[in-house]
Amino acid sequence: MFVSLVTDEPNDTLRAIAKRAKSFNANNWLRANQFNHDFKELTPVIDYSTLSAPFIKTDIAFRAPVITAPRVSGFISEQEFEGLVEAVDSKQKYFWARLIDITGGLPDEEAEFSFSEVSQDDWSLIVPGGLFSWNIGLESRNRQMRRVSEIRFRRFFQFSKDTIKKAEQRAESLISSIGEINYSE
Amino acid sequence: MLPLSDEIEISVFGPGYGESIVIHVGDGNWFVIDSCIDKLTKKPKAILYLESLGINPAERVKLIAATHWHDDHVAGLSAMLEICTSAVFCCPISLSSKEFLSLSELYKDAPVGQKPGTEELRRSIEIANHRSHSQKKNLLKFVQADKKVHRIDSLDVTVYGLSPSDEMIRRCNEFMLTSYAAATSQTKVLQRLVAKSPNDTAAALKISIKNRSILLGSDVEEHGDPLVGWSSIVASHGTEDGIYASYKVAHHGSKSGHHDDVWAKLLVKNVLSMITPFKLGRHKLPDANDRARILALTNQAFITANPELQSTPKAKRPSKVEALIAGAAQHRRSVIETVGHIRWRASINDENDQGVINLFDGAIPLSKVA
Repeated sequence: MFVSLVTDEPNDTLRAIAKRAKSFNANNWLRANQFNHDFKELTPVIDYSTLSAPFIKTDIAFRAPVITAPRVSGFISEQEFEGLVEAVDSKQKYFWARLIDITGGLPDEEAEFSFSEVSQDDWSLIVPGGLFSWNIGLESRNRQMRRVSEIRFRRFFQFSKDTIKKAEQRAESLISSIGEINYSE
Repeated sequence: MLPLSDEIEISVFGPGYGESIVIHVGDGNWFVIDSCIDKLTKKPKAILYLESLGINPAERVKLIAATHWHDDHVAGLSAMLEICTSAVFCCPISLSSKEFLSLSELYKDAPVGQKPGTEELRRSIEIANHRSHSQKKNLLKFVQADKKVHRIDSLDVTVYGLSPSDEMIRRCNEFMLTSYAAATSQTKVLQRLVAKSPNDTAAALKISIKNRSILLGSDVEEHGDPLVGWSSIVASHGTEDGIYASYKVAHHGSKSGHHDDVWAKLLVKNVLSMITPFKLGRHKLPDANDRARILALTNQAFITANPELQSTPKAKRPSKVEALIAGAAQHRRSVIETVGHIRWRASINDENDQGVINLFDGAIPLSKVA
């Protein structure tokens, strides 16, 4: 994949970029022997605010990063539940949860899960009231497809200070309004 | 078929997780206590029932009470109140605190699909408050121990609060304050608000219709503390308050909802006892010991659904997906099941009339639970 950037106003900056582009070989790899010279000396500090809106041409090319390690290249969700932990037996290491079918909207279910279904990193989050997402789907890794099931607990969510302030204001407003009910039945 | 205008009706609905009580207090006027929803339509069961009788809930429901905010008592509550435009709404006074309302306002905006029961309560209070101002009537009332909540003079009907006691209110506020601090903490992980035991919010109600009195036990518990739960109710309940011939058994018939003196001092012998089960995970209430205890106290005990029966999900998903679900999730069951129905009707004016019990949609005598 190539991303090309050109403006309609050739200037010193663009000429510098064009010169830098010559440092790429036919396979779009940066020529190592060009690095010091072209990049350190010829590439100016670019003030992007001086450039007009870009449009696509093919004059200058930058190669996109290439990830060569095995990776998950895709996930097709077939079934997603939102789960709510309702009860936990930490001795026997199982928990009960209510499941809401996000995908199909089918009626809520309840089920029992072993802690082993959950990553150990999430075990401290298995408490009554804990929220989790349960995803089942097809995962593509190294061009191999396999069906996977993953339970991930919700973490790091915080109400913003603004949300908290507004909630308190609404509560106070409601209390004040209730206090003004002064009618007979 | 409608009850006669001078007939009392108590209809208890319970799907296995949830309950709602519909009461005809005379002359075509109805009260609804707590709410659960129908499995298929997702509508409040009380509304569906009243409409099936040809009753217009907007005109004929005069009171809706929420005994506490737990999920199994409030499903569809605010939707029901939206429909019942003439109804007074009441809930425990501890749910009018800044702590509770701030917390429920906060959870209203939480990015979770499963809003806690606080949202149903908050929304209902908001509706009743707005309606009170627009209709210039007091349509929002709060329940606490030893206080009259609502009265209809023309029918000689009165609703009294038996709980929460002052100490229950204090503890509930403390719990809400702690929960609010946790929810707004910048270091903790978001969790859904969950119920705490013992239940310090639950409002037990006494409903008097002429000379008949009904005791609605909500989820009031008993842990031997004289300041809270049934101990506080029994201690403050004077003999002049009368005894009850009908009882919605507290806390799904569990041991934690039992107090000997309730049965010995407040209820008639062989009191008509109506129970809703509670199925959550491996917890099934009432369990075998609970059932034996209740059956030793009354020969008129009925339950809206068999707590030992499980409804297996019949979801239509691809077989390979189902296989993965089944591999990870054990003991799966549908949360919302068929709503069982216990109905009792008797003369309002003749307090010696034992009336007639009818059981529908899976409701059974407690003795038949196997």
